[in-house]
Amino acid sequence: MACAYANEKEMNPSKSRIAAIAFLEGRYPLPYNFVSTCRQCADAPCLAVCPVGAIERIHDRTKRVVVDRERCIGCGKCIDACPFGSMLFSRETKKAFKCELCDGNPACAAICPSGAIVFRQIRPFYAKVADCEMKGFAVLSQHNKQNFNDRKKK
Amino acid sequence: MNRKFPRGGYLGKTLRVDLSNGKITEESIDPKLLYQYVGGTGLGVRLLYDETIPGLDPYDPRNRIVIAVGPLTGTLVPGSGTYSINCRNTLTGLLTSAQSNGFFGARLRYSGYDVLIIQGKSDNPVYLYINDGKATIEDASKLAGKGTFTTDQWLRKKYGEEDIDHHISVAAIGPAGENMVRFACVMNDRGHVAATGGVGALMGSKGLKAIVVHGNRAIPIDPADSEIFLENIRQWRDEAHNTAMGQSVGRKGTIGFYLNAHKKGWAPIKNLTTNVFSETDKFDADYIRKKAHKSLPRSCYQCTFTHCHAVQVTRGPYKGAIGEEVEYEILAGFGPNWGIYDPGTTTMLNTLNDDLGMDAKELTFLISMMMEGYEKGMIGKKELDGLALKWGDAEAAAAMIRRISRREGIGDLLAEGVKRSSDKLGGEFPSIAVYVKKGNAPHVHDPRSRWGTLFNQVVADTGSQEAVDYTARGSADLAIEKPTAEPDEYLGEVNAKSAWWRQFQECLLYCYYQTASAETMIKTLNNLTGSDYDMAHAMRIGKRVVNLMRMFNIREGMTKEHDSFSKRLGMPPVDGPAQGKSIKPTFERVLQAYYKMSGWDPEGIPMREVLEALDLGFTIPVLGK
Repeated sequence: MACAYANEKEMNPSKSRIAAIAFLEGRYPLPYNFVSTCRQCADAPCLAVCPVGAIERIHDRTKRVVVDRERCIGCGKCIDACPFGSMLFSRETKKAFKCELCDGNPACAAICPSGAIVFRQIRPFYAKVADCEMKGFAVLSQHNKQNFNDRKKK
Repeated sequence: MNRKFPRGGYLGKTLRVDLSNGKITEESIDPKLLYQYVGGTGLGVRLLYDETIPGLDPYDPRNRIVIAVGPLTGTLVPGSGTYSINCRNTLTGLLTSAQSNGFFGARLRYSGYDVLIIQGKSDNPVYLYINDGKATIEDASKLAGKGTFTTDQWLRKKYGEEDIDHHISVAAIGPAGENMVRFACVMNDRGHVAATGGVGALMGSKGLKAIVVHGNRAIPIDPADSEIFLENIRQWRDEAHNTAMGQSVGRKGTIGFYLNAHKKGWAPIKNLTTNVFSETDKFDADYIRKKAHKSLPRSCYQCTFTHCHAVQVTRGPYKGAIGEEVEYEILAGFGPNWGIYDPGTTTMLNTLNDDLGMDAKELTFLISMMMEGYEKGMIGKKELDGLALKWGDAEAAAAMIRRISRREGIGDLLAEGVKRSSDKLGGEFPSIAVYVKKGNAPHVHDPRSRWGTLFNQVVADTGSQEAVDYTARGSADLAIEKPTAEPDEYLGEVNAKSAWWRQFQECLLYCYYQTASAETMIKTLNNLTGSDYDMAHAMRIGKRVVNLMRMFNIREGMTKEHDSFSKRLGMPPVDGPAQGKSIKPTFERVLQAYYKMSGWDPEGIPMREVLEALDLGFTIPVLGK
């Protein structure tokens, strides 16, 4: 919610770029709390597949991956490519959007009461095939996994 | 109203669902009502007042259920997933208003509505599905007889498969609600309960099994206000997080209150027959959280600390049992009040009761009454269908809970609630029953020496709703300067103020543990909606709601006789720290002070000029000549 408010100036959780997921099914009642958002992968698959070069890496301290909404044509390739379901599609603008780390001061980390979300420097992140198999990402079908494997081979 | 009102915060839409003919209509809400009642409980009670036909049986299909949320619900305000169910109290025929936290309130707004009115009656079980402003009534025959957890899981699965996030909230009744146990509750988001006054029984009488909300709509805010709003929210979060209450609940949960309450003689033990027991070390919050249970946080919407937990029992006879961490009242109610001194057992009983869907406070005083009756030989094993309800027998209690939820044998009688069943059982039972005179069991305390808490439940017009008890600690916001320890006139005056403030809070609808200072709360509200309230105005809104509730009940035939308590609650404790204390000798004086402060006559009826000053002139015809 803080995310949607900071980025879209709207109180609408469906516009949030970060998702807090509690896995309940099958494992109830000991849920597994999980926060899913963009990992700014070092080998960002979204960046690689964009046909118009609308996704680029900002070479500042954060090394974040951002979407140029002017250039985005809304084809959805990046959304398919992301192994974490972190690339999102706006139904209103018909363009992709994602976590861009709030220009280096993420609202989610600022509001988190328990210290579960922190913003700090870590080593570059490389997505693995195993990430596609994580339970709970309903948007990730077998099809996505296949795509991912193919890309890695190339 | 200086600026344009409402600027933001409100969606301004009501969804009306008639289950008799399946008609679903959308209506808009009059901004004047929004200004007068803010939202939530206040708005809900006002709409209910307008639409209720006086004198109906609670189960009459013409009765309405009004589910309302406030302008702050679903925003960044901490704890703002709360909603309020307002309807006729199935136990008493008067008014009830039940609130619950979790996510349901927020998601009701994301699905596009501020208010949901349910009327009529469906012959087959149905559930209501609301998604982005579209509502449909669906067949729920597959869910008939299923517990609340199964219902929740089934419906989530049905609508939530394509999403990685849980955007869906389900509010459902269990078998108890379907069988119209008079104190059935509504359960939402697994483990959050709107309990008071049989709201679940009323839903069951309409054949409505569940409400599913699912939406992606935004809550409007004026862009010019957005920066200041965020600043206000930060302040609210800081204040809520740093109150003594916030720190304590965040670290220990409400079970942390238990030992303190016990030390003062405020925790009920064995149906209020005693106030001492020896195994207190098992009721230490640190022991329960760290040793007796394995737990993981399961936060509500926008919580600033981790209060709610999901747990697994690791010690005691019910090792391995799973469920939600019990709250103070359930720890006391399903524990020492039944002579059970093991926290793990209360977790097991709580999970069972949550699944069946009943109000814990009514249930605890009901079973404790039967246990006392059995131990004293007032009722035999044969009359109890072969169940030996001895103190501390968790298995027998669990079997009885199941029977009540199915209305089987003696369970059918007990499903009528404490007051009705004690009257029907006759003999000595009415004198050992614990209830306030309107006919609801009180919250699970031993209120006989906790006068503020007892008194505000006695005079509450929504069954036995607690207001915040400021008598013991005072409050700078409400200009209650000195705390009081005596049941005197001052107690009545303080209670009038705290009742108004409580109802204003219920109009805003946020979690009570996330309270900030009054100034911050009102500032945030004004900023979002464009209203111009101040503290005095807020108290007037609260007073308006309290008076409207009273007028609702007077219209249903309530008298001063209802503002009292059962014989057992009037008896002084026989041992423990509060031995010999009672409010009974001075009760009438306190009551008259409360009436006077509220602007009511000695019979507890609001004065006409008070009603007119509160814009409640439309209720005056109820008073007759």
